[in-house]
Amino acid sequence: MKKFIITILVICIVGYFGRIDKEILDDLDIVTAVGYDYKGKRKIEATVVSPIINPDKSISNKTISSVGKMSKEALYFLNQKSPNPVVNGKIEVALFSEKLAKTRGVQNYIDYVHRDPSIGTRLILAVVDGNVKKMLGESFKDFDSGTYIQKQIDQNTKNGFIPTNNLHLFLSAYYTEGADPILPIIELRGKKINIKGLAFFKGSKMVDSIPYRSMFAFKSIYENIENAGYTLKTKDKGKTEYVSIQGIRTTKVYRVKNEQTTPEITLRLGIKGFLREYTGDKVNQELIDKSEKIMAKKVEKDAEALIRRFQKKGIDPLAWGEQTRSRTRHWDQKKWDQQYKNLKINVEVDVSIFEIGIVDGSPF
Amino acid sequence: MNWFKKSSKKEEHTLPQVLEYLKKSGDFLDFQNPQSPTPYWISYFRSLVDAEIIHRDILPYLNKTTIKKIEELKAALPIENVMVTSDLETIRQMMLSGCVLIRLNEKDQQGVLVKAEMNKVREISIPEEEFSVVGPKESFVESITTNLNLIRKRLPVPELEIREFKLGKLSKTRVAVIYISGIANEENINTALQRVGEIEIHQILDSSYVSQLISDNDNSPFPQLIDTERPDRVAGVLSEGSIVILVDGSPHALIGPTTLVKFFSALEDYFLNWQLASVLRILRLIAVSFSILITPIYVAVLNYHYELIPKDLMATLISSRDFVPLPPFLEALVLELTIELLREAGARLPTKVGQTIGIVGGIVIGTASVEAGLTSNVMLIIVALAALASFTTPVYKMSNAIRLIRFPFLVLAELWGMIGISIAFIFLMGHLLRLTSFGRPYLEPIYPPRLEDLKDAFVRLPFKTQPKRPVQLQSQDTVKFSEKAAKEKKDIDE
Repeated sequence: MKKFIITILVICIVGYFGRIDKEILDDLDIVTAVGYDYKGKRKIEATVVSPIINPDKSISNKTISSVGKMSKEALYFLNQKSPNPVVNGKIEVALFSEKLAKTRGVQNYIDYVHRDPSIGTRLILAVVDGNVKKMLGESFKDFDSGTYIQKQIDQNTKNGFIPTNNLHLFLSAYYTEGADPILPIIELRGKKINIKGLAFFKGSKMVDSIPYRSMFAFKSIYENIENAGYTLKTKDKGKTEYVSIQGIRTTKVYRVKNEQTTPEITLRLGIKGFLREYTGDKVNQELIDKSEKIMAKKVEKDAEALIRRFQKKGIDPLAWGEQTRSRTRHWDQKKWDQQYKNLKINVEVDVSIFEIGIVDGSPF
Repeated sequence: MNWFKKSSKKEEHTLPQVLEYLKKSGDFLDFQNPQSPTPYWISYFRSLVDAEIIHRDILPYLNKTTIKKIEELKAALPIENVMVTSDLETIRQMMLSGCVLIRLNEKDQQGVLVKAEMNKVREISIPEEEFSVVGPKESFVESITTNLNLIRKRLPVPELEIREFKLGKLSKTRVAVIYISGIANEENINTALQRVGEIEIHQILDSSYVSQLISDNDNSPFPQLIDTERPDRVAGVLSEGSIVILVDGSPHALIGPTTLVKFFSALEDYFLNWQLASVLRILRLIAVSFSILITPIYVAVLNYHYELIPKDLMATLISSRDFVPLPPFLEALVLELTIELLREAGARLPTKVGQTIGIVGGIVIGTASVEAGLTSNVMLIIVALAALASFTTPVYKMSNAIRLIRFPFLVLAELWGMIGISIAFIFLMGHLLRLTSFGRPYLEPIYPPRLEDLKDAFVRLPFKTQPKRPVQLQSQDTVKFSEKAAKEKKDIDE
């Protein structure tokens, strides 16, 4: 009996004092996106979005913003402005205005999101051309803006040209010697989100960007594409015709020569896809061969141009340094930095179109 | 017998005195016919004796023939259970269990006891708790004689041994321990016989009395003996080496030693093909874990772990809880109690009224409480599903246990969220690991791990893959049938 009473007492004491604070789902402001704007030299403006779910299940946005010196401080003021506790566990996207990324770097703000244990490392990061607060305040049908942006970026990563990107990969590139992080740039155009291009970072500061049209070449040399589309321009009987190639999958192989002295890197890129649309008369073997050649040449040219550009700027988003480091016993970053600008990098592209549809006559 | 002695004020020393005492009962009948060829004095309890036997088998012989000595009377009666005795104790006992006392002289100290008990029992009917669509449709009744007949019919072997006990100071209930000697483990038999023999209680009304009195841990919510109303299940487990206990007056037999997973196997599993049976068993096990865990997990997630909710589900959950004034724990508790209330009301009322109550409770209260904004409809669905899932267990007592252990889980989920559920689970596992049934481990094919027994635990593999008796029962004769002979199937023209 004594034992029983002691047990009950222990359970009651531990149960009462051992509680953690309750966060009841419907009494929370669950943040889905957080954005940072540049506000003067030492100030930033943090904006968070949380969805408001109406009883008829429609969703509307609720944005709260506050100005502070640091990210944490700004978020603390957010809590002050909200009737419900603001919680971070469901943050999907973190956005940084271009100006902030260029002048101050994103390190301080990233530090906050990656120290909070309730935020997952699959958080998507992006740079915004324009005002972040305005973008987050925009209402998109069916979704709150955080979820909407996350869905669009995710979709474009799977089936488009945005390289795979999340907090984990960003931090990995940031801390790895011989690699620099990249982030997509988005903008608000009309009432829609538009993918504008890619931002390249040196350390935590944004130093360069490329437009949307160069993103295919970048993604194909950056990682394996699973499913994407590409349009080619060809000449047929003097007329300009367009070939659309869909379902593109790429594979790449690195070769590094003379790792110890002057490395020389060869990247072999294999592109496979199927022809889905042609504005001209008929698709035949000749056209396919021609398209393959044009595409290979174009991608090769674009890719090489990109690589030269990175070398000139001294950034390494493609992690060439990491590629060499993993093949070298005593890799020296300082030596690498000197070598990088004059590094010889070759790109070899091999395109094969293996399907042209089922109705048109078969050239194979 | 002590009871009688204490209650009677003075002791009776002669047979007439005994009869005089018994006459106080209104149903005690005592008549004589000194004029017939054989003068006789007959006494019996009208309520215990079949009058037809007296009229058909006793009175004609007494009225026609002349019998002078009491031994002659014993030979003359065409009934097998005839006994001549002068022992007062025996006479009193036998008369109370349905015997007729015949004396040739009023002053005789000796009489003939003729067994003429009235055997009015329920007809053998269809099993209700363990109904199965395919397979035999017989179930036990309240008479132990009929029940033993149902078992013996299925196992016509001399090795089937029945050891009977008379238990209960007042009720004198017949309790039979049944096993197949040579198959059942000696230790198990001795354990069962010893525990049943040592039962000390005034009255046994049902086999569940015995079950509670002999189970290894009577503080456990889990039943440690399967109770079944199916004679075919009993025959099946006897042939595997289990021990069965039958109690007179109870249509339920007790089976032991048993394991936790056996409670989730219905007899129908053996009548269906093994693939279907395995799927059904897995479904039942999923249903049980679902039933225990789903409400606590819901409460824990809503209280502490909003991060775990998928984004697309969030809108549904939030909008359903929009106007609910209660916190999730109280909401769950109220609904769980409502369902228990409905079940209890349905169980206590006659079938037809019970159904009505079920419909009224289920539909009217459910819908109305959601519409009034007292509970969220998601919670209603979860609680109703959990209740439904708990009823998939084939053994009724186990489904009660499952509904009960849900509440500690719920309380701990409210206190500490998922960690609380884990703690509750650890306690549950600790308890189950320590539990035994007739001294054999309760959690057997899982711990201690017995690969051989896993063939008939979570799944049921084909009969020919199981030529051996379960390891858990430690049978004396482990081989059920020859594996080799079973595998060799020959066509007639081979």
